[in-house]
Amino acid sequence: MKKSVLILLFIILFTSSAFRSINAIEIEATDYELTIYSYESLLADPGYDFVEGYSNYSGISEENIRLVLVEDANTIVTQAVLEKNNPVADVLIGIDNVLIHTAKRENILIPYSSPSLENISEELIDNLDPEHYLLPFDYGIIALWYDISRINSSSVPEINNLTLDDIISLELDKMLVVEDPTLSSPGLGFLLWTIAVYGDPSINFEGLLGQDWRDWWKETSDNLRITSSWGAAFDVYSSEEENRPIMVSYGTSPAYDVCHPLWGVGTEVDPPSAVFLSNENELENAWLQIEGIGLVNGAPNEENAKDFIDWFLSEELQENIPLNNWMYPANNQTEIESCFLETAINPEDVDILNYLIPPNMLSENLDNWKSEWELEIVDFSSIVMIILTISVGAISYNFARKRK
Amino acid sequence: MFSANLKKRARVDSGLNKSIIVLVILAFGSFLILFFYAPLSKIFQFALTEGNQLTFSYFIETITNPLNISFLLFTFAQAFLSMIICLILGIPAGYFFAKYDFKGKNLILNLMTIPFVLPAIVVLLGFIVVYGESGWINSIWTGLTGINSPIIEIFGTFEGILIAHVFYNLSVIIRMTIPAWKSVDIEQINVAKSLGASNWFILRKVIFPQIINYLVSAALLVFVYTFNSFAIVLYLGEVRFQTLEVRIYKLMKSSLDFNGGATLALIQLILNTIIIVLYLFFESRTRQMAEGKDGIFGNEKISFSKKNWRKNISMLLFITFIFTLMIFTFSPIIAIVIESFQPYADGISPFWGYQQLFSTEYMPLLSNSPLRLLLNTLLFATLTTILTLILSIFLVFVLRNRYQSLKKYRRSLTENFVSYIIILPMATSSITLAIGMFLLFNNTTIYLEYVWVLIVLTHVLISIPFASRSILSAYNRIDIEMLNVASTLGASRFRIFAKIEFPYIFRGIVVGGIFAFAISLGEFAASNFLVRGEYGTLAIGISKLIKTQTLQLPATMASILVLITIICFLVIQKFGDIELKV
Repeated sequence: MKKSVLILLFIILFTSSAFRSINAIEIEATDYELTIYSYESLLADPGYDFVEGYSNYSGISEENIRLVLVEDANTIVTQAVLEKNNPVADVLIGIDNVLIHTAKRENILIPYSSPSLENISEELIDNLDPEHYLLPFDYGIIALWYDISRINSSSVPEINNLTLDDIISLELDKMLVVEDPTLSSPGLGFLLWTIAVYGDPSINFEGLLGQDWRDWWKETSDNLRITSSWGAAFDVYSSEEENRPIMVSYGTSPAYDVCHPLWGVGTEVDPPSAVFLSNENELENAWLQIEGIGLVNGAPNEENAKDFIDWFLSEELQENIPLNNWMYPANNQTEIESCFLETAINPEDVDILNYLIPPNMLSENLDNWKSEWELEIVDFSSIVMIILTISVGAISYNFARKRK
Repeated sequence: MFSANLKKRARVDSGLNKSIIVLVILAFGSFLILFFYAPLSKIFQFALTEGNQLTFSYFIETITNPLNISFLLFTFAQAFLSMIICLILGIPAGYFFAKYDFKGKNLILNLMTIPFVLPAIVVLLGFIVVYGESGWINSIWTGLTGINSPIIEIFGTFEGILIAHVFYNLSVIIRMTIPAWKSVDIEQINVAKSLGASNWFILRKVIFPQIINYLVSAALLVFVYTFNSFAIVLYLGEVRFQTLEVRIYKLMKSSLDFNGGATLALIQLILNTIIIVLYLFFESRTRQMAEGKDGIFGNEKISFSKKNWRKNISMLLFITFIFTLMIFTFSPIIAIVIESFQPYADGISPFWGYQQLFSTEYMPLLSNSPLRLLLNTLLFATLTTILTLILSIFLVFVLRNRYQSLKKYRRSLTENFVSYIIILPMATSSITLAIGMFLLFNNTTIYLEYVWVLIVLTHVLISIPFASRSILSAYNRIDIEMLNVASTLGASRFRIFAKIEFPYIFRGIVVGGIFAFAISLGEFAASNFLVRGEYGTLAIGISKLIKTQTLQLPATMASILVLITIICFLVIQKFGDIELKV
């Protein structure tokens, strides 16, 4: 009796859940007028709701604009490639000057010469993509961001004049968080930074120093903490018990601590964080990241997508970039808050490493570099050897015993 | 005349029988061919052909790639070590549970099995809450010693992965070694003792040969599970440690190297098949050994005697050991529930996570509201249960339809064939199933619009071995003679099924069905690979939120899964014994 009641209960549970969830699936068949793929931290802190902004501007209702957020720019590209025969997205936001090579090779974008480009400097456009497959919307340098309360010029006197070599010799790598370059775009930027500085003898690329980038990673790999995304790196960086007060981030990151409307300390007091670059050959070296917005090849809503891109590059949106996306806006007509200008490093003031690696070299070697990087990081041959020895020993002991 | 009538009827009946069998085989076969073998052949195609030509270049490239080699070695190494640690902890625990009888023994045993039936992603979350850098253990450690560096690091470390795997699989060893200890023949031990054998000698020469098959098959099972571990290694391993499963996933999803991913999946499939065949071999030997022995060993009361203080101390140590294991297995589960009521920031209500279920705040990140994810999860699980049960009953029917000719029974060609084609789905990892589906269907409407169908079908394929196993073990208890008698007396095939077979296998069906439900509920690897748009499940939702600092919402989702799993598990306990074996 009891059992039959139990069974009955289960059947009711099954059917009712089935019934309701079928509804849940059916409802989703909304006709979207615009679908946007982006990474999850875009304009997110403290937050500017660009979907609402565009809805107000264009008159398309918010429910008909679908925003899909993925972990990182790299996932945007892979998602779009997986869908390239039947595209879902209309606009991709956040592919940068490195990922563009994959995006172009996979044919997921088509060129669009937006009228808004007239306010974007030639140099930025040329550095990202002269063919306009991808249009720059913001830029900034990759930099090593550190928490001044935990590491500063009294604990590391050379902190304002470091080289990548110094990171090893001063054991700063034990305090450093980097993002996985195979998954994250700032992580990839930093990998290219090391390649541009040290060079790659296997393709006769001199770089700045004429050494081998692999050596730097080999030396540091045991000490680094590697995370899958910028957000995960920030979690490690900000929890003190992790003891990792340096992370690969952006030259604009100090502005985040100073100018943030909620917890920014303001320009009157000493800033809580700062960044350092690498100072090889008396230069201030850093990798420049330019983020772009692009129109999907075969976009279901091409006209709306173009309109959205025009709007995204206009001053109305661009003025939100500095204090929400914490980057320099690409549109040069945009007014930038003085707080941001004072604290964020301007890419024009540093020596950009990108010019050392020409686009064709980058696109030819990118995949190779990534997998060779993995090879430097993944090194547990010693453990494996121990285990193999143990198991071989155990098996042979067993055999020997049976023979007796 | 009467007998002629009967004969005629029997002939009609056997004709009907044959057609039923043919129909069932057709249904089952076409399902397997369409959703298992066709996707699998697509993997072969990506791995072994270029254009239309057979090529081994991908194969050679994959197998000589140093990264793949080191990940392959790592996969073996971690599975081997996890297995050894599970054995070291599990064998004594199994001995304890087999030998002693005490109040609440079954309850403890059942509770200790719960981690195994929990979704990997939930286990992972519980692990992060307890052992993570700012988790319980490390907070206590910092509080006690004032040292501001964690005592346990689980992210990006070998030991983190091992601890999680041991936690997850320990109960397999404990549960599977209990019958081993129970099958030990006490008489032999007594004889050996009376002949003056030392304890060590008895253990080695008398007990060991009797339990070795059980141990090997249990160990191989743990090896299979850890060899194909996905969620735990994906999140704890960072880049440094990847199982083949994770590597295949990353090749397919991050590098878009379909050929490389398919080739590696093929290699993994071969290795898995070898392990599974080995496992089936040892497992069938345990069944032979178990025959005719029952309950010789065991059911002693736990007792302390005043005279024998050495025995008391060892008993005390033993109990402490079991107690530690219990804390080890329960704490992450309890931690999840507590965490779901733990406000992630000041001024947040403890029920924030549960309120969030009904909001759409996390919509862009989760591609759907948490409530919808829950409903999707339940719907997929229900569909999976129904389909799995139908197919498993078909399968058992085909395998065991031999009542009419028992006397001259030989393993028929179909049975041989069927058992071979069944081994293959068992040996296929979730990721392999998913990429097969993906490669075959990725340009069809079914993938683009109704990807949930593929997700459900993958869940069905994953659950069939478990469900058919429990139905089969129920079926094996039927006295075949009874079926023969019924048939001689003129009952039709359908009537025999309805009146004799079905009541017998009913328990098996319930247990198998709930097992399928539980598997689908928490399945992560394949769903995560296939998912598109709004068809996410709770497990996928948890994985998306697991890296954020606020663990309250994912812990809430996980608590729901824990609750449903425990209910399922309790129902299984009501109906019969849980089969951890594949």
